[in-house]
Amino acid sequence: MTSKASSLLLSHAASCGSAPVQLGDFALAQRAAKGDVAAREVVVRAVLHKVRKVANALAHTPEDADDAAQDALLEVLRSLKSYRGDAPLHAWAARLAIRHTLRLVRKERRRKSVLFVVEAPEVEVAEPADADLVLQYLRDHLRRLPERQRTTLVLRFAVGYTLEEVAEMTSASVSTVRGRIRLGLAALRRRIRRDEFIADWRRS
Amino acid sequence: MTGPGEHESTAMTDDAAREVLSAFPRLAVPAAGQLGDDAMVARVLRASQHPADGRGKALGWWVAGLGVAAAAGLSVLWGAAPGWYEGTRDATHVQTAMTSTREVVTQKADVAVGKRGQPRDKAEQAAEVVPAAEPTVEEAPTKALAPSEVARPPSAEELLERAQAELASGAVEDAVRTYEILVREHASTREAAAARVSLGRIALDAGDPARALGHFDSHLESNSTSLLAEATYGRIRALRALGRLDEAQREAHEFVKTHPQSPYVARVREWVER
Repeated sequence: MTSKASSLLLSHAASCGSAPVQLGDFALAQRAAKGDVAAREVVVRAVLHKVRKVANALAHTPEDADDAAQDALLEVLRSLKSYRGDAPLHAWAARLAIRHTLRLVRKERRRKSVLFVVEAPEVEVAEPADADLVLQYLRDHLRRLPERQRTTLVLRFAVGYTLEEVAEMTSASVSTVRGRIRLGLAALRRRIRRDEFIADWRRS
Repeated sequence: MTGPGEHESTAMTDDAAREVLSAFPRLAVPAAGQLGDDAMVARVLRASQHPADGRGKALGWWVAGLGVAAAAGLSVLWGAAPGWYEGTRDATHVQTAMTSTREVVTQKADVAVGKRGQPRDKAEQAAEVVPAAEPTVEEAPTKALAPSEVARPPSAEELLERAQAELASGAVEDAVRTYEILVREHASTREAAAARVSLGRIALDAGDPARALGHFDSHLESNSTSLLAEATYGRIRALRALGRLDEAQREAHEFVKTHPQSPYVARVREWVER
């Protein structure tokens, strides 16, 4: 089986000037688990973008996103010994890292919510006059959704996972994921409708 | 029934909702100032080569726990079969000392095996005095502390949670009192920092910007490193409400430079540009 990860190892070896090495996922994971730096780098790069996307979309601040992504990637490296080769390595690692990211972000949000619950700029939402403000506006509204709806919407629409993948990552059934998406989007629309800023802005 | 104006408004807000929801993919895009991919990979690989991370510490504690448990088990065995343990008591101490550098663990082991340095017969007597049904090593000190714990004053975290619950239920005056106790009793904690900023916000919302400014200033002068953006943002709002516009403008300029990632920056930038 030629996976994304093993082909990455190939290109890495080529870029280092050494002979290309084609490894199966299991052999690659074993090498990485034993501390082979090139193999570890291949594993990290194979899941880097997905993990960072999830962290960026869910974390409170860019710094928290970097910390969460870094920790999740370390968790993948620590867990390599438990990889049995049942699924492609990049898919296994992405699942593990993203679950870990979700846990970390949730934990960090809980910790911060103790401090920030009153400080959230509830009535200070800026008018969405440009793209940055629209994005900020979406973040503000997402923060106020229930945890599961927010996570589901982000995995589906920000990161682009399929319903089945979101279900697997959030340990829910596909129909539950569908329900969370429906409810989450409805809640977001409702909140936006309620916001007089928007209506005024569109009129002007 | 809805009037034409309402229909128009709904249609417009539906457009707005679509526009806002279309921003979803951009949520996943890195913000300015975040680590580049190569830097992130390098950092992860470097960190993975240092085993002294949280898991290492957890393992240390687990091993230390094993040492304590082993010591506790041996104390019972000494009472039952005092003939064979000659070498093991010292070995238990060595193991306990090796598995953790924390004095408390060693002390717990001492509780289980008799006072360290005592001659063997005294340790044996100590083991005989403690019946097997006594509380375990971990339970004993907890039970001894229980009465004082009941009487202890609320922690900073408890006070903050209480104040926030009061605020959420609309009991603003109670919340203010609780926040003030928190600031007085736990002045140097992160929770007190949050309380000072919250007091400022409450005063602003109550139309008392002078008082609010006092709270924000007291937070900014406290050398706390948390909630600086929130406190500065509150300070700017208070200055604007007091009509001290030049000062507010200077502060806003500084804010945009110092806190470019803050959720408040878009709002503050508007003030700067006006």
